Amino acid sequence: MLGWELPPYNSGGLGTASLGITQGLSSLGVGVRFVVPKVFGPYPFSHMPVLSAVDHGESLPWDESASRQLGYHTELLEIKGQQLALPTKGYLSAQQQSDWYAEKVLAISAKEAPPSLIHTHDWMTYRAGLAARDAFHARGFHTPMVAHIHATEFDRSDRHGNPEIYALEKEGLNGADRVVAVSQLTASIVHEEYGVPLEKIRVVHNGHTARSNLKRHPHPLKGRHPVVLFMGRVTWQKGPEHFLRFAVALLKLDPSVRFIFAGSGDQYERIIEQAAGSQLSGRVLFAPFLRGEEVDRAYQLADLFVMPSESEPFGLVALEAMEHGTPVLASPRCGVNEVAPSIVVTDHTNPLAMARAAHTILHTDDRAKRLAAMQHDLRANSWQVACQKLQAVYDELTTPALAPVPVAA
Amino acid sequence: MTHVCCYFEVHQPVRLRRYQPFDVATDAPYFDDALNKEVMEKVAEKSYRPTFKLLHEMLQADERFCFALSLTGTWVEQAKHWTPDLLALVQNLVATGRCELLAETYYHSLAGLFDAREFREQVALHTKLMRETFGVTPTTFRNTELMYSNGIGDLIADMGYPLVLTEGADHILAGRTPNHVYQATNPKLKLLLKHYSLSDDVAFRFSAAHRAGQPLTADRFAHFIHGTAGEAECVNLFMDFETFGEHQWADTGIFEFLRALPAAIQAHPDFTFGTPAQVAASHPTRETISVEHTISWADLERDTSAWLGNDMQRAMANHVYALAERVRSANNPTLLHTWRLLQTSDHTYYASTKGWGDGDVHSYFSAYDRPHDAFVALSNVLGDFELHLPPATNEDPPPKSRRAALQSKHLHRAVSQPEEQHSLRGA
Repeated sequence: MLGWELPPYNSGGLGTASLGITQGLSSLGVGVRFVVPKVFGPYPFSHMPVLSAVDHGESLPWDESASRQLGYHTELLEIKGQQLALPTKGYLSAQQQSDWYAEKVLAISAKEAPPSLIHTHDWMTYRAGLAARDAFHARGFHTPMVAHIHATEFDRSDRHGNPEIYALEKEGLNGADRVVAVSQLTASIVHEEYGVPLEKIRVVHNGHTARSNLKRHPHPLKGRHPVVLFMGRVTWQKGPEHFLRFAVALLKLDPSVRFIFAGSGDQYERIIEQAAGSQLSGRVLFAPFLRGEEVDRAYQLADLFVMPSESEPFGLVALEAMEHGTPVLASPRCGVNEVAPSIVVTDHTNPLAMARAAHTILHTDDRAKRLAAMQHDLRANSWQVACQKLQAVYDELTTPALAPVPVAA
Repeated sequence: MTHVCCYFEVHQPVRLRRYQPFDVATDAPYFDDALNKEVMEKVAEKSYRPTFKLLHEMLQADERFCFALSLTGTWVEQAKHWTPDLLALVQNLVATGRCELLAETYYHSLAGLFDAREFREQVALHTKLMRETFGVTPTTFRNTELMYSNGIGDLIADMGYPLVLTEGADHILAGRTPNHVYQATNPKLKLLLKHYSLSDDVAFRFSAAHRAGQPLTADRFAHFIHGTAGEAECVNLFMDFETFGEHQWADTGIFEFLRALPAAIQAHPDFTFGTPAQVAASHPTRETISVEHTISWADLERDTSAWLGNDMQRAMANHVYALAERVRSANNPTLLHTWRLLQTSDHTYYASTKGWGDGDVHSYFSAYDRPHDAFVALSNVLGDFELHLPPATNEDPPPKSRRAALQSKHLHRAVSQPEEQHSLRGA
């Protein structure tokens, strides 16, 4: 399996989902070897070996003291203050990142016994997956390649995305033997925007890992004021501006509400200025990107989690919020809505509608009923359930009788 | 006789911690004691201690040398905590009778722009502090960052101050020189105006001249000042105290420059030194200067845009001052003192988004990576601070009925204003 990040050294949902998938597969008896660009430190799990791509191949060793200029996915490589940087000064394109990873993965593949299948996660890894598949093929092995799509460039940037990334996505999604999309929403984007035939696409919704030892974090603010949470990268995709407009509208209905806005990203400064200009000083409390236990504390402190995303392929955070008993208000453009009916869905571009929905949840909801609905959604969306579907996709590709699509020559 | 009038501003803000949402409603401190201590000790070492000592030597060496200091309450409090020897050094200066202490707001605040009552109370607190700490009652006023307008002038005159220092901004001088005592629009008030180009030669350009291999020597600077002979009655050199050793490091020769200044200036028989009060008493008052819009000594604009130039800064200041009635009605000295510490102008100064040269000056003083973090720090603190205040009329929980809402509003309005409480508690 070729990935880009794993918790705790992750910048977002991709790492969390990658871990969940591997854990689900392991529980079904599927063995996984996972490759990341670099192993930053020890991982708190032992169900699979994690290979550090940086330690393989010849070209371009990482230089951690080099330039901070990393190109598009800087945040993916800047983790807990540790960062990877190439010795090349200045700009590193999406293609260059992709090719770097492919070169490393090929070096690893040369030393490895062929796997039954190569599973890749998002554009950074597709070219590496295709290259490895072709290399194994040249050695006479049939190793189909699955392109899992967690987020497309359309989700991240609407129609103003990076054409280079789009091209890498298109190459990977069309070159793969199967595309696994995290929702129907994403499947339709993959079909419509990337021209991937529907028969090649399978939908496997993300799952959720129920934690047995969920620690409670009491906070003195809890119960004193209703608290509404935004947590995510501060980028167009996550709809931070919609959140602030919604906050203004909700404060008119209930001035006692306090908002926590946690995250960082390219729109951070604009959002702060917008908050200041909207008289939200002291009403919206700003936190940097949260991780680990702080994420749990935020969910628990909140009485409502809001996900006003412009385009959310899945939105695993919604299930995480529910695990802490926190109801979720989401935009209609969130894949998780397809499998979690307890989520309240409202037009994220209509602040008043959102505010009314939030006010209802905060003040007149049947709390017990809502909790029961959330519990039901959590049970229905385990990683094990998701991985059973994934295993069926694997079976299609690896069982000759079930494999109608021949490997590209 | 032309008086060279030197005044140095001595100030440190009580800086905020990076207050986080999870800190709200806990007893987490608002202020970064470790950082404040570190800055105070560092600047004491580089600037305050050596400069106070040097000035004392200069006063002893030359009985005609004199100058003025303005010490903010937040500086005095922090000196008491972390560098108490500095207070004794100031006392030595004041004891000579040739170091005039000026009046200002205790908290180096923007109260003069937002809240007249608060302004008067902070000035009274500062005066009390000067009296108790140094045994003198200031008679000359300087407002935060030399902010001044006709309206602020009226407030100052009403408090009984006959003299105020402000910026010799080009547009208010309209072709006149800053080298005279001028009349404010308030008939009871006189103005002393900063000679900004000569002041900035030292305060801002000293290092650059040093680096460029054309160091500003005391003789050369005195030569510039002597160029005003015949015209000037006073040459007002106003600057930050930290100019000496902190903004301009010792290795630029700034201390040698300062030491040599009295002799160099008095090498011309028509020039000597005067404190602001002496200058005002020694020279006739010239025509009236009217200042409609508030001026200050900061940035190219010489207005309030260094503190209130963008949405973040205006939101910060508006929010802090909007709490005035709630803070007063809480009748709690600790809350009042905390609120006032949040008023210190530096908090909004750090949130300036100006570019170019002025932006560099802003970031030089700031501990934040970006101005937005300064907004966030204060905004998060205010989120907690309001929890300690009586509820605002529009902050009641959603009313059960309109009638109940009206009643609670009515009740809140009926709360009588308590006696003012002043707190001198440490930060």
